[in-house]
Amino acid sequence: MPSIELIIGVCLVYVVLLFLVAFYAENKRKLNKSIISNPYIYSLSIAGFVTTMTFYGSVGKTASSGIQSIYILIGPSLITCLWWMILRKIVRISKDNNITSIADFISLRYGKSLWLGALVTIIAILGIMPYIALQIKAISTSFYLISGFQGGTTRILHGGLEQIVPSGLLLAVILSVFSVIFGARRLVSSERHEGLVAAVAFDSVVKLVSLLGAGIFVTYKLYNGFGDIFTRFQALYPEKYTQLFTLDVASSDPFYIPSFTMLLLSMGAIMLLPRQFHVMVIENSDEDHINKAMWMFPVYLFLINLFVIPIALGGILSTGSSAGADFFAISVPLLSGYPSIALLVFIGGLSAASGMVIVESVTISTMLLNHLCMPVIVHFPPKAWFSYLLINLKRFGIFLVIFLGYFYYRMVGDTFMLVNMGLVSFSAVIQFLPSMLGGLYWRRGNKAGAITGILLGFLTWFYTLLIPSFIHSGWIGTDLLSSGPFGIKLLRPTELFGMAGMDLWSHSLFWSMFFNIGAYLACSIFCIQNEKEKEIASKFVGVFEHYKSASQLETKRLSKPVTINQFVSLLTKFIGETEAQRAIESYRGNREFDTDGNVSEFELPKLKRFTEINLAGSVGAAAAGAIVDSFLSDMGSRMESVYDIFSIVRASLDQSRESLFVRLKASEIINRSLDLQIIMDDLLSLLLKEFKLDATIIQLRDERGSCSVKSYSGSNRRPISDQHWFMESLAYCDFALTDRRAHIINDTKLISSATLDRTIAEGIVSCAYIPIMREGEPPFGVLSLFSKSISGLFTEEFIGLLSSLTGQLAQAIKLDEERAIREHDKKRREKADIARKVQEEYLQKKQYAEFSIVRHLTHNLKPKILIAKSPINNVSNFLVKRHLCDEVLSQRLDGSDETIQEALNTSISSLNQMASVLDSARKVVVSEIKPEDFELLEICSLFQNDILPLWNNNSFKINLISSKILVNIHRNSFVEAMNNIIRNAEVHGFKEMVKTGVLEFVISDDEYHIIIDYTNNGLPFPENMDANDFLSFGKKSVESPGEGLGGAWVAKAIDAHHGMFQVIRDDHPVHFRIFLPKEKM
Amino acid sequence: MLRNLIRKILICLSNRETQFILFILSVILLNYPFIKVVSYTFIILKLPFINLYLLIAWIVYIITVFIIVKAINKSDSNGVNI
Repeated sequence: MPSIELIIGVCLVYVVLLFLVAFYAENKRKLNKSIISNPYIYSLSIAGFVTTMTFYGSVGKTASSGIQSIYILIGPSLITCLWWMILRKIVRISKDNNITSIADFISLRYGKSLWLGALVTIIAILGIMPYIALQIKAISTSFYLISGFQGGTTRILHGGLEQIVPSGLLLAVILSVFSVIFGARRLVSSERHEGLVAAVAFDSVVKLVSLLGAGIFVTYKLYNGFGDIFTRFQALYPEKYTQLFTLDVASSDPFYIPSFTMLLLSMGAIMLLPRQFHVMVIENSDEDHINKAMWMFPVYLFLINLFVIPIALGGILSTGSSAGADFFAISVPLLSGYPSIALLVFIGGLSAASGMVIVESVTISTMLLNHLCMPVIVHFPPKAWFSYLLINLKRFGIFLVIFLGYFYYRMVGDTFMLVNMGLVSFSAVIQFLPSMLGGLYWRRGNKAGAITGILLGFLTWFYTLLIPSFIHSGWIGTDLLSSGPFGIKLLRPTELFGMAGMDLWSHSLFWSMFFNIGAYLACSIFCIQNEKEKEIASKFVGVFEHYKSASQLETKRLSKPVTINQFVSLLTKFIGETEAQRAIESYRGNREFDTDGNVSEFELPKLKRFTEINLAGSVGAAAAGAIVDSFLSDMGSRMESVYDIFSIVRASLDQSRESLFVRLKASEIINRSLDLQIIMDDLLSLLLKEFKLDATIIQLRDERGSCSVKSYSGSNRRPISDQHWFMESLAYCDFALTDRRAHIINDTKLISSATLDRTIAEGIVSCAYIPIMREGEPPFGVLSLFSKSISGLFTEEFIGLLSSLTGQLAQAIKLDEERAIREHDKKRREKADIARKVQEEYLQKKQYAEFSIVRHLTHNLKPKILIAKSPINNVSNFLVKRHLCDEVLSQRLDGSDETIQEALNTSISSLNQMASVLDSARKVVVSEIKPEDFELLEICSLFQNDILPLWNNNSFKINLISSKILVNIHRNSFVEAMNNIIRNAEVHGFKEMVKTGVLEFVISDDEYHIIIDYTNNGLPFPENMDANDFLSFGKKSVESPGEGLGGAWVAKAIDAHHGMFQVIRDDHPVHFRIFLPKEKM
Repeated sequence: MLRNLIRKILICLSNRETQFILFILSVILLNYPFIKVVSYTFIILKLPFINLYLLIAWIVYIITVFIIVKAINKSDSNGVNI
C-alpha cells in the first residue's frame, strides 16, 4: 500500500501539471496561437464525458448487471452519427447569438424567456447534484482504498493540534477552489476558457492511459488474456456468467436497467449535460472539428471500454464476489501487490472526477448567474461595481453546485452504485430533450410548451426518481414507496398510476417523457407564439437558410433614437470600458456615423442586437435582452413591430412578390399613358390600394422652383388651402428636396415640437416624404405618403421601393418636360413661318403694287411730260424772239427778281428730273436678271476692274481686302448693286466729311457662302431703320437727297443671287453683310 | 464501375437522411429485442459471443461514421441541406 505522503505528493504533482497545461493554453491563446483549436483536443475535451461514473462505475455495473453496462458508452457513440446535423446546427446558432450555456440556448429559442432560463438552471443545479455527489464519492472511496484510511475522515495537523475533517468535505472545498481558479478568475465577454478545455483534454489522456494500463495489467499480468478470464469465469461461476452475458435473466436484479433506457439516457446526456454542451458547443472554435470528433470520440469510448469487462470479471475472480465492484480497478492491483498500478488508476479516477466537477460547476454557476441572479439585478440601474458583484456571484455559484453535490453524497452516497447515481442525473437533463430538438426542428414549438413540458418532466423526475433515491438511502421513510402519498397507492412514486414491474429509471424516464413531450406538443399546438418568438424560432430552425440569404432586413424599429455612445456606456457597466470600446469598434467597421454617434433608424435595431449579443457573452441572452430592453425603456424608447408590408417569403433577387407586383404595375402605369396627370393619379391610387395608405400627394416644382400640389389621392379629400393639414408637411417636403433623400416619420406622436398638430388631429400616425428625382439630378418634386393605421410602416425596404418608384416617376416627368419643350419650339417655329410668309407675301404684293405704279407712271407720265415740255420750249423760243425773256416775272421769297426765262428753265429742269426719276424706276422694275447671264467670276478682280475704277476721282477712299474667290455671279446686277451701295455712302454718309471718308469691303468665304462685309466711317446708319427698310423701294425720308432706288437695286440683285443682306450693329457707323451662295441655287 | 459505385455510396452517405437511417438502424441492431438473437453464452475468439458481437458492431459503426465524415468532407463541406 503506498504511503499517504506518496499519494498526496503524486496528487500535487498531477494538479501542478494540470495547472501548467491550463496556463500554457491560456498564454498561447493570448498570443493567438490556440492549442485547443484542433479536432484532436476537441474530441478529447468531449471525452470529459467519461467521468468516474464510467471510469469506476462501468466496472461495477458490469460486475453486477453484466454486458449491458456497455450501453453507457455505446449510446454516446451512436449519437455522433447525427452530430453533423444536430450539433453543427446548435454550434452555428450559439455562435451567432453568443450563447453561454444550455439554459441560454433554450431560453433564447423560446423568446428569451427569463422563466424558462431560470427553470432550466434550477433543473440543472438539482439534476446535477447526484452526478457531483458520485464524483466526490468515487474520489473519497478510492482514496480510502488506496491510503487505507477508514471512517471517511482526514486528520490535519494544525499547529500542535490534530483536526479531524470529513475527507469528502475537504475534497469539496479543494474542488471548489480549483474550479474558481480555472473558471471564475475574471468576467469575460465570451464564456470560453481555453485553459479549462486544455486541462480537460489532458485529463482525458490520463484516464485513458490509466484505465488501459489497469486493464492490460489485469488481463495479461494477472491472467493470460481475454480467453483465460472468460473461460475461468465461466468454469467457476457458470450461473453468474449466464446472468452477465445474456439479457433476459438479468431482470431479477432490482437495479437492472434495460439497455434501451441506458442507451437513451446516455445519448441524451452527451448532448444535454451542461458541461457537455459547454465543451462541445461553447468551446467549439471551428465547425469542421465536429466531423473529426464524430469518429474520434467513439474510438476513445471504445478503447476505454475495452478492458472494462475483463477488469470486472478479474475482480470477481480475485475477490470472490461482486461487492465493492465499483472500485475493482484499484482493489485488484492492491490485492495482487501492485500498489503502483493502483496509484495509476487512482490518478486516472482523480482526473476523471476533477475534470468533470470543475467544468460542470463553472458551467452551472454561469447559468446560475445569468438566469437566476441577472434577472433580479437588471431591475436595478447599472452601477460601476456590478462587475465585482457578478464575478463573486459566479464564484458563489461554483461553491453552491459542489456543496449541493456533497450534500447529496452525504444523504444517498452509500446506497447507490456509481452508475445508478449518475443515471439519476442523466434522467434529469434528458428533460431538456423535447424542447431542444423541438426548438431546432419545429417552428411551432413555443415557450408555453417548453416551460410546461420541462416543468412537468422535472416534477415527475423529482417525484419518481429523486425522492425514491432519498427513500432508498433511508433519509425519508419508506411509507411513501409502499402506500403512496396520503395512502393513495395509485400515486406511489415507483409505480405511478399502477405501472408496476419496471425499474426505477425506465419508469421515471417513461412518465417524465410522457408528461414532458405531451405538454410540449399540446401547449405548442394550442398556444399562439408571439412575434418575437416566431422570429427567433425561424432563425433557429432555418439557421442555415438565413446564412444563404444575404443581409436580413429589419422588421423592428426603435421608437426613440439612441446614440451609439449610450450603448457604449451601457456595455461598459457590464464588460468594462476596454472590452466595450473594442466591441463597438468592431461593430463600427465601415459603417458611418455622425460625430454625435447618431445612428439611422434602420441601423438602430442592428446596433441593439449587437449590444445584446455582446452582453449575452457575459450575462446570457435572456438577461442581455432584459438589460437592453430596460435600458431602452428608461430612455423612453422601445422596440416595436414594423408592419411587414412584404411577406417573409422572398422571391429571387431578394424581392418580395408584393414588391415586384407594385414595380410591375407602376411601370405599366407609366408606360401606358403620355399624360403626366394620368400617370400621377394612377400611381397614387396604386400606392393607396396596395399599401393601405390614407393619403398620397405629389407636388412638383415649377420653373421658379416653388412647389404646388399636382395630384392628391386619399380619403377625406379637401381642397388644399392654407388651413389644410398638409400645409404642416411642407417643411418636411423642403427637407426632402434640399438633401435629396427620403424623410420619414414613423410615429407622429414622437415629434416633440408642435409642428404636426393638425396632421395628428387628422389621425395620421406615420408619414414619409420622398423626393421625386433621377440619380444625380435635382428633384422635380416630392411624393408624400400618410398612414392613419400603421405606425412604423416605412421600413428600409419600403422606402427603397418607393424611392425606385419616384425614380421612375421622375423619368416620366423628365420625358414630359422634354416633350413640352419640343412642342413649344414647334409652335413657335410654325408661328414664325407664318409671319414670314405673310411678310413675304406682303412685301411681294407691295413690290408688285409699287412696280405697277411705277410702270403706270412711266407709261402715262413720260409722254405727258414730253407734251408739257414742248409748249414750254415753244413759249421760251417765242419770248426769246420777242426779247421778253429778261422781263421780271415775279419776286422770289428772298426778295430777288425772277425773270421769265429763269422760271421757264426751272420748269423744264423739273420736268427733265421727273423724266429721269421715271427712267430710273423703270430700269429697276423692268430690267431682268436672267439665269443664263450668270458666270463664274473671280470676285476680287471683279471689284478691281469693274467697280473701283468708277470711283477713282472721288474724295473718299475705298479699301478692298479679299482673296481670290470664284463665285457664280450676274455681273451687271452685282456691279450696279455695289455701285448703289457706294453711291449711297457718297450721298448720305459723307455729306460734310468727304475728306476723311473711308469705305472698306472685306470679302471672305466659308463652306457654302462668300461673305462681303461692307463698312464706312460716315454718318451712322439710322437707328430706326432695318435691313428691310433699307432694301425697300422709294425715298426713306423727305430730306433724303437720293431717289430711293439704290436699296431696291441691292435687294433685287441679292435676291437674284439667292443671297442675304444683314445690317450689323457694331462699332462701325455702317456695317452691312452680304452673303452670296457659292453655287447658284 | 467500382469507382462509380463508391462515388454513389459516398454521395448517399453524405446526405442527412442516410445518416438518420443509419442511426436508427444501429440503435435497432444494438438493442433489445434484436440483441436477444445474438445472446449466446459460448466463447468464440476468446470472447463471449454477445460481447464479440457488440464490439464488432461498434467497430463497424465507427468505420461507417468515418466514411460518412469523409463523404461529408468530399461533398460540399458547407452542406446546407440540414
